[in-house]
Amino acid sequence: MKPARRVKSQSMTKSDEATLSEQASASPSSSKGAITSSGPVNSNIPANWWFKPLPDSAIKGVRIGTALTAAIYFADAWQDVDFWFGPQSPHASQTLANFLQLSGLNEAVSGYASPLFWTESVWIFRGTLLLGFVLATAMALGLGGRFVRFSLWLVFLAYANRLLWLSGLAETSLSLSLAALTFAPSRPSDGPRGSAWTGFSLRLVAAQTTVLIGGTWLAMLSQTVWWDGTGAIALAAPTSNRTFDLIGLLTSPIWHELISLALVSIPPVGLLLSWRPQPTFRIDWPIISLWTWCGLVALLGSYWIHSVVLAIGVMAIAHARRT
Amino acid sequence: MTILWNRTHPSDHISLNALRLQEIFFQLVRLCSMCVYPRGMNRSNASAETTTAVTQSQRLLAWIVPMHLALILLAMLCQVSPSTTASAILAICRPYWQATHFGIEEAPVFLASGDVIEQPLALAISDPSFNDAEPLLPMVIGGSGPDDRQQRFLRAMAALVEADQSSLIAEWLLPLINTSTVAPTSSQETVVTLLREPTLLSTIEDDEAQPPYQARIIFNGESIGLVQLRSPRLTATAQ
Repeated sequence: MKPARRVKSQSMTKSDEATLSEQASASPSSSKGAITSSGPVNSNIPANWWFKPLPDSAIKGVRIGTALTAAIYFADAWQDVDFWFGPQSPHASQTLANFLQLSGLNEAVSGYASPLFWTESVWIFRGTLLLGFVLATAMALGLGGRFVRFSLWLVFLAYANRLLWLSGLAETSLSLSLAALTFAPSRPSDGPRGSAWTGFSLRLVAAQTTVLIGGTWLAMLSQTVWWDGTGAIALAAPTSNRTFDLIGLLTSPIWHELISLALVSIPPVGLLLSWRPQPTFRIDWPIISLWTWCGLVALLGSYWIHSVVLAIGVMAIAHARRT
Repeated sequence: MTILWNRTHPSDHISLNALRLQEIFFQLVRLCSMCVYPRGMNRSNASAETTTAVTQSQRLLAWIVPMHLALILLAMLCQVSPSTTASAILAICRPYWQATHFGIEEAPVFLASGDVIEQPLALAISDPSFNDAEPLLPMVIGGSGPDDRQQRFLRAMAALVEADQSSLIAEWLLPLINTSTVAPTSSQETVVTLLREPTLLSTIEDDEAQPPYQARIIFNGESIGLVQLRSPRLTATAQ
């Protein structure tokens, strides 16, 4: 099988060969470790990028920020748990079961699994929220490691899935971030270079945030308000559902058109520039602009939890792109 | 890509085709890899001091994650206008994105559209001439989590009205009326109304339109029923 050997050697590109020789010359010990049973490491570019080791300090801020946001989420949910889930309430298990049976929506929501569908006891709901709050606090303090993070995600899923159509963007973005953070190792014991799983965890948060902001931008392009400059007003207009009534500041065309322009233009420019491996700016303008975007969305549209989770994800981009 | 050697045996012809196919496959995989993972990432991987052995599970994850990200993007863009293929993909992956709560359903991913559907909704109990209207849902801080949940609930109710599903609306409204602090008594003639509040972007026509849903509360002994009040329609039928 002479030709086969020849083809196999051709499938390895010059860059791979250069990488291997560089490894061999730079550090014999690391190059030895770089060869696995299934072939050279650098023939698998995606895995190498995702799993490049990072120290625990890189992910610490993201972990604490996400955990505190989750704690605030559970505290916020405590307020109306009686109203939605108590016996005879509009979202009680029995009411919901009747509704789903009558509407024929049983199959459409069958994937939203949660043990909370089996109970109407408000105390169990309160216990779940309390457990979530305690686990989130433990995660913020760095206690418990993977077990606590995974448990927190499960508790969050139990509550978020039980909400069904009462859940929104905040639940999705928080679930994505909590799930990504469960991959990071329990203890930063992988030496000064850090752990591959910490790198994966941080890059996953960063990539998810990029998709969420990028997807929001693409979806915004489908609405005329983001083209005619009234997007900022449309965002702030339902004043009774907004924490701050900022509509008075936006009545001047200059202001609302400038803010609308900023909301539409920051995501593509900010994301493209923020992923550059070598920042060319002394001040990190791309990251600051993305944080500004998150702040504007939170202030005008009252997307508080969602915006905070995205802002924390932007922090993950800042760490991930340097590696 | 071209492979040249002297063919001396007929079986070489078969193996040549097989090898060409294999080479094309390798190049396609490499091309896909370059599309998904830009050149900058490749260069950064060349650093020997930061590269470690990659396990088989890590390799697998590195290819699953882009699919996971693509699914999130697809779910977001399907909120605008889903294509048949996109809907089919989302339907196949439903167990994954529903169980993990990674999917997005009925959410304003575009942040704002300025449409009537974004006008705040409210539920009120009043007399038939809409005097002394009392809110049926508890008062909450605007923009807070409880406020978001109330609005999503009312939007779902408005969607049921549009789909002309009165019996389903009653499934939600009756528990609310039963547990409400402003519960009516049988001596009063009472109406429950789902109404849209005006905003700066809503037109006079929008504001003066009939409320999406209005029903009279009927008392039958201990139980309560609802009779929907519909706006009179023009008809060509002889009276």
